[in-house]
Amino acid sequence: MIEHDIKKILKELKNVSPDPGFTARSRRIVLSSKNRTSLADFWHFKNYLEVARLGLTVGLTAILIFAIFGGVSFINQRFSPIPAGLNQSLITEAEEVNSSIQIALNEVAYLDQSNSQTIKTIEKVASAKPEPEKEAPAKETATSAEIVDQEIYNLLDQASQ
Amino acid sequence: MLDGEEKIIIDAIKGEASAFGLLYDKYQPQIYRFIYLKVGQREEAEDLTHQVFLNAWKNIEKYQFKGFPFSSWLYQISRNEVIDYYRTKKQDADIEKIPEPEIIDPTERKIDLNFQMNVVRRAIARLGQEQQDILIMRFIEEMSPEEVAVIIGKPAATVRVLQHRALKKLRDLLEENKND
Repeated sequence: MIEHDIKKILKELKNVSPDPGFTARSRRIVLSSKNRTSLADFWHFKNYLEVARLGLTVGLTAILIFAIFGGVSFINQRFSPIPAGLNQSLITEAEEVNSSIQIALNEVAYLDQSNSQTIKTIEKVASAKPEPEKEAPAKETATSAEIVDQEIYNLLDQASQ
Repeated sequence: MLDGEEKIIIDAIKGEASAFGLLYDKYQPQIYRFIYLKVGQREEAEDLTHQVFLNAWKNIEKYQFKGFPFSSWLYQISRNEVIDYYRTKKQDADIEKIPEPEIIDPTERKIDLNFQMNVVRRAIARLGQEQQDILIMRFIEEMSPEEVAVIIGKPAATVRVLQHRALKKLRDLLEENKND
């Protein structure tokens, strides 16, 4: 066989081709293989995306909340019916009233305590037995009663101070 | 080479399966043919061809543009696959197992041509690996000596010398077969 014929036959061998069924199956398997082999990479990338998305969501939410509160505060200050200066004087006045009330409450507590002490003293005096007395002259009896009255008046003066 | 092949390869490197699908459609038939003519068995050729494209898709990021078609890289992978095939199988191509090519045209002329094709195919299988590669790439796939040189890793001038020797060896084998 001369060289020319060999080359001609070699060119004819170019007609050798794969089975179409094999080609279709192989193509499908090959092209889907990359997804499986790089699954780890895919999941890493997906996790990265998820984390990034979560971070972005949290950040935007925080900014939104901050903006809302900031806006409400701004609106309150800007559109409030009470002028800012007047608002402050009202607060001061309210604090002074609070202080007065507190002073009065303290005073009531003190009087209550004093009252309790006075009652105890009167009870003590009242429970003290008088000494058997000879028939004293009426003047001396009256003096004893006056003495007791005087003691009572003295105690009441002390309590009221 | 495909139109816009460089862009297609870049897309494939990015991971676009559809881009690699275009490369598969373009080069799978010639890679199959190359392997089939070397190993001589259709099932083995299908398995090896499938493995070549699996490896190519898996390692597409390693592809480097050298001014030659994407097929050059595929041929390199194919050569390695066939070498590994023979290394693991530890068998020579059994000429008796090479199936007859399908008869496409039942006319007498075509039958005769198919017969001759089968004879030449058997003779190619008896050549050395490098001679097979050069004959198939130069005379069947009609690739340039420069492209073949890149694939086999030798200078283009060496490829021209080797192809001449391969062709002479093939002729001798055919003459030997004719005389048998």
